Amino acid sequence: MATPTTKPAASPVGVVHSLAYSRYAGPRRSPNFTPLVIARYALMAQLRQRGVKVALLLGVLLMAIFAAGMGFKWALPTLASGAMFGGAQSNPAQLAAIVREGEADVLSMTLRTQFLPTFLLVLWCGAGAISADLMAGAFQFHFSRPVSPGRYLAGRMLSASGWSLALSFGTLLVFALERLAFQSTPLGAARAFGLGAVVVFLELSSLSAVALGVSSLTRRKGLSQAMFAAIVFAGWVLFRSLGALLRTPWVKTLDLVSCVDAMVSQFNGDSPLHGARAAIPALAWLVWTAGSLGLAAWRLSRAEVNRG
Amino acid sequence: MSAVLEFVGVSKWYGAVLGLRDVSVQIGAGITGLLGPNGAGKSTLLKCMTGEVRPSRGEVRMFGRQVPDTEVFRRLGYAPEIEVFFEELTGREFVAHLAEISGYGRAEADRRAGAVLQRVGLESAMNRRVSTYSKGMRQRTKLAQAILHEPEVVLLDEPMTGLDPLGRAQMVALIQSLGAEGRTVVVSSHILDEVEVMTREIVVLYQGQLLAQGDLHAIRGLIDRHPHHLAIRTPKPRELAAALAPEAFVVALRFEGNDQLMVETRDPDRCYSAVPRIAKEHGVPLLALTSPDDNLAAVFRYLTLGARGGSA
Repeated sequence: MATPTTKPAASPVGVVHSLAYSRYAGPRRSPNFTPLVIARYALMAQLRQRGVKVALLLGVLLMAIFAAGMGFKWALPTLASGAMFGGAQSNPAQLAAIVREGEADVLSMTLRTQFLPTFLLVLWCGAGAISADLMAGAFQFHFSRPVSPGRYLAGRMLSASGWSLALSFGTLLVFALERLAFQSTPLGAARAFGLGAVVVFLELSSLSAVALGVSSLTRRKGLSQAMFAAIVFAGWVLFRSLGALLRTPWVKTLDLVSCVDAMVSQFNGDSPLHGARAAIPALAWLVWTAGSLGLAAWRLSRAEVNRG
Repeated sequence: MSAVLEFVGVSKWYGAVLGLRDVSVQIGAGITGLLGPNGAGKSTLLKCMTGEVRPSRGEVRMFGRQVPDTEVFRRLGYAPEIEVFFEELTGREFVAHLAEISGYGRAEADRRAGAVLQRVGLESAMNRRVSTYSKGMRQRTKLAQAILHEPEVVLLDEPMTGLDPLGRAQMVALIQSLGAEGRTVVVSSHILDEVEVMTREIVVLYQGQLLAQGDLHAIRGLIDRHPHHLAIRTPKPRELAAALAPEAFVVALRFEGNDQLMVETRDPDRCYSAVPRIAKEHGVPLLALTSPDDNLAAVFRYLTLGARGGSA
């Protein structure tokens, strides 16, 4: 016989769910993260492209070769002077000059080691970036969302220079560690690394800005890449020739590559430019970078013009 | 109808080419079909809503705010006509990327990308690169990225292009479900049958101008130039024709086969009510009563022919 219970039988329950639209009210990320998001996915996509992989491999190879070469260059005088085994016997002035020269090498050699891979990567990832987005219709995906042209451009800047930045900083770090191992004090190595970081930033920002600037002018990726290459190489040849013709060293510092090289010379204290002319490389860098970014921003603010 | 989207005297020129000419139209919640032949200005109209194209004259408003507007864009989903994507990314990465741009965190963006790709039927292909996708799969991916952030307004530019019959049926069902959820869905399409299945609310553009807007039946009723056709299936078509001939609403009568009478009328409402009564009075059985030109294809044909100054 069943035991009687005082608990009432459960009354039937039901629920009607509304299928009407309800707006998402959860947390949203600040739009300031948009450039990082654009850059992250672009870098991810770039890494799957053969050209980028080849350029990165080339960069790593050059880094290994130059690191070995610079290691020998810095290690030999150190060993010869006996600095590693009680450098007090050496001439301190001579030793200081060797150290100074070595630290200057870090700046110039970082740029030289990675110039070709950097050029190729910026050419591949930057010079065609906006053109490729125009062709792919990425504007339609991006700008129908809360993405401003400025944030889009910032994302493209980061993605144009991301892999080059990684290569250059890797090279810089290896050189700084070698300095620390052979000649420099920790402070000297840190100083060389810091100045090197500034130089890498200057070079990559100007190259990327110009790449994006020309890329915003056309939806033809090949054409924008050709324009970028022409600005880098033809500009270098043009201003070199003009400088030689006019016998004015500052003219040689006006092109995209030489303005950063000239600033490296200034950091290293061996620049031929003095007085007011010492500002010319920095001004040239500013004109290239700000002018190109301004051009790209203007073109993006009138995005429909880019539709061809 | 309370307008979600509003065009006020919008004109757009591409240099010397006219894209839109003085278009004023209001679109409310539910599904609206945006129709017109190639070059009619459908894509331009949609791009004006997304802010990608700026009107040369006039205003576009969404939720009462003038486009472009960042807040409006949070509430907008757009699937463009283009078929090129970030080819190196997988479908899931592509959609998650756009989810993150819409403001979701990384984990939430990935979760939403997975869910929305499943909703559009791409669950088995979402981890493949977009470069390997077929045209139909790209259409679904575009729709997925348009609805992943739960927008109130969804603009779909030719969403049926490239889909197989099954894919089209699924896409229609999906778009209908978006409309049923109370969203404002604007679908531009050439495929009139499928638009007709989705909605009776249409906007017709022709050569950049607004040709018609509103309910399909109401628009058909306004087309006086072409008499309405009424197809009557009956075993006694000649008896029925004789009975209908004296009626004032009848413009013409035509026999089709042995069991069908085609009636042309300029007063379809009166015709619909009178035919069964007259048939009953004369003892003529009616098997079927249909209106072959009260459909989107016929209305579209009449409208565009009228705009060209032609005749049916």
